[in-house]
This record gives sequence, C-alpha cells and structure tokens, in this order.
Amino acid sequence: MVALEARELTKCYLPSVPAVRDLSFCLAEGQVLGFVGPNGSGKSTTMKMLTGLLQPTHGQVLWCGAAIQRDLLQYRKRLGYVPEEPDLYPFLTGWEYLELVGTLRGLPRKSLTAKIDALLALFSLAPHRHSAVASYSRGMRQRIVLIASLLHDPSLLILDEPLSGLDVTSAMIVKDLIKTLGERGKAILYCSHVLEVVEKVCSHIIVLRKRRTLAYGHPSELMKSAGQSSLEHAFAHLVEGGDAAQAARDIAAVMSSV
Amino acid sequence: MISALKKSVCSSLEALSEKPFYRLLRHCVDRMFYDGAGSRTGEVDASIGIILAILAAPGAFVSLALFSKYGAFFLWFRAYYVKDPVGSLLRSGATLHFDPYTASLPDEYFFIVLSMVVAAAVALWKWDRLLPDRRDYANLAHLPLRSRDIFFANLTALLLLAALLSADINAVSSLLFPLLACGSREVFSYTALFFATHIVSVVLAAAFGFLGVLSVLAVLMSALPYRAFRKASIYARSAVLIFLVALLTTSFSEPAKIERLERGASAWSRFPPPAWFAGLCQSLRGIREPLFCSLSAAAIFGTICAFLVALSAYALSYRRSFVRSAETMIVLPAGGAIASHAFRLADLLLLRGSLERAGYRFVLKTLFRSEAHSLAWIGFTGIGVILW
Ligand SMILES: Nc1ncnc2c1ncn2[C@@H]1O[C@H](COP(=O)(O)OP(=O)(O)OP(=O)(O)O)[C@@H](O)[C@H]1O
Ligand SMILES: [Mg+2]
Repeated sequence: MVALEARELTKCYLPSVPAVRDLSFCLAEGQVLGFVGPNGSGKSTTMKMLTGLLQPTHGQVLWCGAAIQRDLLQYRKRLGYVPEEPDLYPFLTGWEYLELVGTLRGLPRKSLTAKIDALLALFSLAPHRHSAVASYSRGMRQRIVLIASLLHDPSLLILDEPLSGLDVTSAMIVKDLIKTLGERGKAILYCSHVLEVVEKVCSHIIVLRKRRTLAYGHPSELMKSAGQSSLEHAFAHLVEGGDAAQAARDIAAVMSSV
Repeated sequence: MISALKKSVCSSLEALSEKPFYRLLRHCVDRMFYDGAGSRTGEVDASIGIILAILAAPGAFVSLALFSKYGAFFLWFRAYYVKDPVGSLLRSGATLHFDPYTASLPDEYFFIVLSMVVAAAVALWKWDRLLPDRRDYANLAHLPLRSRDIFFANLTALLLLAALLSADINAVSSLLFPLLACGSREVFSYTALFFATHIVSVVLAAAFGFLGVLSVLAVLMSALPYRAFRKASIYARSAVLIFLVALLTTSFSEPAKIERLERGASAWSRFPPPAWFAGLCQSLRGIREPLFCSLSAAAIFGTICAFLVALSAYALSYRRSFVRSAETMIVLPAGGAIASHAFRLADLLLLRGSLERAGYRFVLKTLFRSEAHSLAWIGFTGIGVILW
C-alpha cells in the first residue's frame, strides 16, 4: 500500500530559482527508497518538504492519500526524522534530550524511560547518558538524533544522511536496522552519499541532479540501464561526474605547482 | 494524612510534568537561562544562582545604606527630631513633621530606576534567547506540536522570567526600605500602605522595562529582513543600553525636579519613564497633586501600551523567526563593515607599524569578540562615566 506520495514537488527559496523541480514518487509500506545526488541537488530540501518543515512552492505531499497539511499533527506522530545536521541543545544531557523528545511526543513516562535506557545502551551511549551534549562528538550527537527518531516506533522514517559521523560499528548497526525496519513494514526514505550502503539497503533509488529526477528504479535496473557493474559507477555515469581519478591527479598537480 | 497529601501532590506534579505542554514550558524556561550559543561565547553566561544573587545585591546594599537617613536612632542622634508617641516626629518646640512619604521620594525613585533598568538590562542580555532560534526549529518543528503551543510555552516562560526577575531584584529592598522609611511611625497601616505602593510601583516599573526592550526587539524583528535584523541587532542593543545607563543617571537629578514641579499638571512628557512610576507611587499613597495624577496616568498607560506592543510584535516576529525558519534563517556573523573602516582610518592617522596595527586589531577583536562581550564593555564604560 502506498504510504507517502510526492506529487510534482517544486521548491524555490528565491523567486524563479528552483532548489527542487517537479519531483514525483511513491513510497510504499515496507519499501526503502534511496535518495542520491550530488551536493546541492535538492535532497535535503525534498526531505524538509516531506516532513512538512518547508512549504512546497508547487505540488503536494500525501500521506495515505491525504495531503499532510490537512492533519500535520497526526502525520508527525507517525513520522521519525533525522535531519542533516544534529543541532542539539548543548545544555541538555543525552538522556534529557531524549526524555524531552519522548515527552513532547506524548509517550508514557514509564515505557519512555525504559526505552531510552535500552536504546542508549544499544547505541553504546550508556556511559555518556548523563554528560552534556556539548561534550559529545559529532558521531555521538548523530546517534542521539537517531535514537530520538526511533523512540515512538514511527511508520515512516525520513533519514537525511543518517550515517554521517558514525563509526564503523554504529554505521553497520544502522545499516542493518534500516533493512530490518523495512522488512517490518516501515516506509523509509534514505538519503545518502554512501552508495555501497544505498545499494545494499534500498529497494528503490531516485537519482537527483540539478534539482530534477534523473533516474528512478531498482538498483540493479539502474546499473543495467547505465551499463555499469556497480552503483557507484552507474551514479558517476548518470550524473556525468567525469573521471574521478583524472580530477584527483589534476588537484595534486595544482597543489604542487608554484 | 499529611503523607497522603504529600503523595497526592507529588503524583499530580509528576502527572503534570508528563504533559507535553508543561514539559515544553520547562524546556523554554531552561533555554532562557542557559546559553545556547555553544561553548565559545558561553563564558559570559553565569549560572542562574549567581545571576539572581548579583541582581538582588544592589537593592539590598542601597536599602542598608539608607539606614543612616531613616533610622530613628540617627534622627534622634542628629538632634533634629524627638520621637512622638502618636507616631509623628516633632522637632523640640516647633511641630515639624518628618513625613516618610515625601522624604522618601528620591529613594523611591532610585529603586524604581534600579528595578526598571535591571529588568531591561536582563532582557537586553537575553535578547537572543527571547525569540526561538534555528536550533529550536531544528529540534521542535518536526515534532507533533502545534506551533501555537510552542508560542504560548515560550511566551509563558518569558513572563515567568520577567516575574522571577522583578521579584528577585526587589525582594530585599521591598522588605527593608518600607521598614526603614516608616520606622518612625508606629501605625501599622501606614507602613503597610508604604510597602504595598512601593511593591506595585517597582514591579510595574520592572515590567515596563522588560516589555519595553522586548517590544524594541520584536518590532525590529518583524519590520526588518532577517539579515538586516542580525546586522542591526548589536546597534539597537547598544543604543538601548546607553539609554538605560542614562536613565540610571537621572536618579540624581529627577527627584529634585519632581519636587520643584510639584504644583504643575500634565507634565509627564517632561519626565523619563521612572518618574511616571514614582508619581504613581505617590498618588497611590494618597498625595493628590496634579503632577502625580498626570504621572501615574502615564505610568499605567505606558505599561499597558508596552504590554500590547510587546505581545503583538512578539507574535509577529515569532512567526517570522520560527514558523518560516527553514527558509529565512541563515546564520550570519553580525556587523564588521564599520569596524574595518575604523581600523583603516586608525591605520592612516595613528598606527604606523605593522606590529602595532596587528596588535591593536587582535586586542580589540578579542575584547569585542561577541555581542555579549561588546555589550558588557559598553555597559561598564557607561557606568564608569557616571561614577567619574
Ligand atoms: N535556506 C536556504 N535558502 C536559500 N537557498 C537554499 C537554502 N537551503 C538550500 N538552498 C539551496 O537549495 C539547493 C539544494 O540544497 P539542498 O540542501 O537541498 O542540497 P543537498 O542535495 O541536500 O546537498 P548536500 O548533498 O550537500 O547535502 C542548493 O542550491 C542550496 O544552495
Ligand atoms: Mg543535504
């Protein structure tokens, strides 16, 4: 069943300069949809429109067939969102932050406390749970944001580069978690630059370039249509990234020039 | 019985804290007290206890200093007055009344100025925290909360902060000052009236100061584009701060002016805001001078206006700063252009060597490295000028 639908989403921050143009797609329950594209191609802007944080200039976002604006509160109760930057309150401890988010989501105190403790332990943050967020590393903050998005067992997860800053173990956990949650029927939007992970966890992929949809389909279909053996190469081929090795050599040459 | 009552109070408090709105309110109060800018500028932010103690200190010290003016022992010691059993003080021989209501006008004026200036200065200091910012948006906007609830929680936190501050600034002086000033009277109702009118006027003055600064902030935020607001912010804050320091200086000249003009009416426009509240205080004490009536009308009207302007502009600017935050909020360093012109001018006229130039630049940029540091400098310089 289609859970989330984007219909011709367009966003212009400045008049007549679209950051995203005419983007349409459907996301079904149990589907993990990967969002890839070069820097500035409009991924985060799309994620913000899908969460209702940004009002699209044109187009609509539908949840279970109805526009999200019609009952934004109910929609947000079902939504878990990991923003691009974990901008947490530095004066709260990790535990307090999660308690704040859980309480504001209306979760009952007893189950909330137990859940926070369990998730903090599973994400290896238990020893730091009473330290102020100001003292956390980038990866620790990212883990806190991830936990905050999972506390209320959402049906829709929108993850904007959830692996950024995570260490190898945590990244592996999150990768497997996305897969597991997809299998359990959650609708997941996963935006990332790490194509190996996208290839492994996503059932479908959207490639954005210059604010438009360039390709949409199963990873293997994209590789086949681009005539490449890996998603990385297919992506480079699709977005006309050019020869990366040659670019690296050119940079080194510029650095050593007098 | 008592333990059951205690239990029920505890459980109802716990139930309340589980409610999203109250948790949000608590969070809004927390974010006003803690520096949100991160560790770099956090050093200027002191903890709540220290702030409250510092704010309460001037009122306490000044009240104690007034002991020499009002203490019955000192009055007697100076041989000016002898104690009268009816409650008024008589000069030996002639009947000269020592009337605390009239005699205390300069001190009353000082407490009103203090209350107003400190409340306004705190609003000025917490300027960036009074409106929700990008971080609030990033953390709260995607949660299932009505933006109305976030607005009211923030507003309630703001009013609670204002109430707490005015209580703190005036706590000691509100007790000591009436007791000292009316020490020569033995009629309780006399002291009670003095006490009540003092509290009303200092609290209203604090509210006026706080709401006045909030109005300036909110009107600027609603009227200017976001970038222009960020740039104008430090100049607006400095201007308000200079005005506050100037208000402090009026406590030396204004009371005498009020006493001289006691017979004039509709003169409120010739006096700064603290004088309005001093007039209100005297009116409430039953001194029916036309000047005091005019001043008290100005005080009441001014407070209501400040409240209405602050509330409506706050609602407008709140909408700008929070509801449309994702589109409009781009973090910018404030100012810079004027400073670089000033340095260039100084290079031409004064600073010849490159070491000198670099040294002055480094020292000045370090001293004025954030808005909080710049304001602290301006404030202390102003106070220094007054004392000098
Ligand atoms: N608040 C804003 N105001 C103006 N323009 C913006 C704003 N946010 C993003 N943009 C512009 O919109 C375009 C898309 O930005 P977006 O952040 O969505 O890209 P992205 O695909 O997420 O990039 P990245 O891979 O670097 O995260 C960019 O050109 C960016 O400059
Ligand atoms: Mg992005």
